[in-house]
Amino acid sequence: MTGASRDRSHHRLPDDLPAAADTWERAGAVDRAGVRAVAAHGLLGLTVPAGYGGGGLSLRESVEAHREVAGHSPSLQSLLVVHGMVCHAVRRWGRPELREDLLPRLARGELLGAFALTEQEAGSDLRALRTRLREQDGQFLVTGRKRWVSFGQLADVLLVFGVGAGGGTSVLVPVGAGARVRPEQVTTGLRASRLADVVFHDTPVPPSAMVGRPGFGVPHVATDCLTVGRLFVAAAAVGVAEAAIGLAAAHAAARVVGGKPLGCRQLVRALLAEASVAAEAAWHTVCSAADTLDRAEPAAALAASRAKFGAAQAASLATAHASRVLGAGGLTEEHRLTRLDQAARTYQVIEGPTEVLKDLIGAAVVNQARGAAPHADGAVRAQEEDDRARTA
Amino acid sequence: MTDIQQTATYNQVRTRIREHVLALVGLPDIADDQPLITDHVMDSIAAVQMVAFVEGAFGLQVEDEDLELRHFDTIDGLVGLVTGKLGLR
Repeated sequence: MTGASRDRSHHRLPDDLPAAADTWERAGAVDRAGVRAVAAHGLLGLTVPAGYGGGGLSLRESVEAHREVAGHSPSLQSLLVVHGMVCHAVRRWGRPELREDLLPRLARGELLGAFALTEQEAGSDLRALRTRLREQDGQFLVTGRKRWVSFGQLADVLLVFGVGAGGGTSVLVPVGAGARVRPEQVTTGLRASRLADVVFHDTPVPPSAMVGRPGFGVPHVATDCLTVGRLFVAAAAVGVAEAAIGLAAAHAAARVVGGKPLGCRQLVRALLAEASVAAEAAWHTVCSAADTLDRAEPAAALAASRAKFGAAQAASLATAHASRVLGAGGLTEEHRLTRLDQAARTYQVIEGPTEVLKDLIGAAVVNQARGAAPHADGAVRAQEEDDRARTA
Repeated sequence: MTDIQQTATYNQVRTRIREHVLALVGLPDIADDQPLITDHVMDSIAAVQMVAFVEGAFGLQVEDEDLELRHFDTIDGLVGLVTGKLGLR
């Protein structure tokens, strides 16, 4: 294990989670029984205020659950991410009647939420969204197509981002009210996360379902949700890194080569040292970012991006090193390390690809220096004019 | 609060918002009516930070109905939002 300390637990996981996770991964699908089990353990309402029937945890307290669930099932943890982002959006930016109506049911898991932002041609660039929100006869009509919606196959409501006459915003669309949901192809990483391809054609929703004012829902609500999502994914990446290190350490202790356990060999120890320090450092960055978000500090969004970048790197390093330690046995499709390795690769892509995050983080570092020396560099400004045309 | 005190507080709000915006965008100066979001002077992360800043610095809760672009797109808009919520006019 890493040197990162275990915190006082604010949650409990289903006892059969490790066995269930194996079943889901083989089937390529988390089933409804799995969703009911995590709902029964309160894992779908961790950060929803107690007044709405949730766990009332701070983000700092909740990241531990994300870390632990991902160590067993990265796919299931992605349900906690997308459902958690929907809860966050409704709580923070929904109208009072929407909060009263939906939050208790979301917190109990009676309603499952999914986050429908990504389109075929729009990912990190929110300006490229093509989904339309048209106002007619006192309601919104949603037309467009959303791709790779995690748990879209099981969700009851989708938080759909699109553009209307007054600008971009989001609306909560009940599935079954004219939304056509089809399974996406199973992906290599997070393969059991029930990805959906969802098409809306003049799907009607009432104005009360709007989350965030037009022109502010996109980018503001989207970015706010992605910030929380990045934190959760960062915590998951640490869980994946630690699980991989655990597998490698157990193998190094037990496997004897040339009369000595693998763990007595310095190069094997070096792999474990690098991985465990990277995971521990990433965890501290995640906790620090969670505290920053809980205190609503101005630097919170950047802190979440930094944490997600660092944790995804740690997960990739740890799974690659673990793969070296475990040898051929760890390369089989069914091996737990393969699942972790594929999750680590996925974490480099979702909730802000590593390259986009590096660009944001690096720009902030430069900006800080320019703040100290305001007339530093005209070329940097020219580049930033270009950067600002993009959102993430 | 007297009119003089109100004006002093109003000016303090404007100064604090100006300083924060300049630090966020990394510029030595900016006009109070310069569009920040619609002219891409500020990216979406900075916009999120502005909401958190307004809430933290002035002890306010930004509600759904406050989330009009006009409140966040310029320094003037931000000053109007904060002073309005603080009851300073």
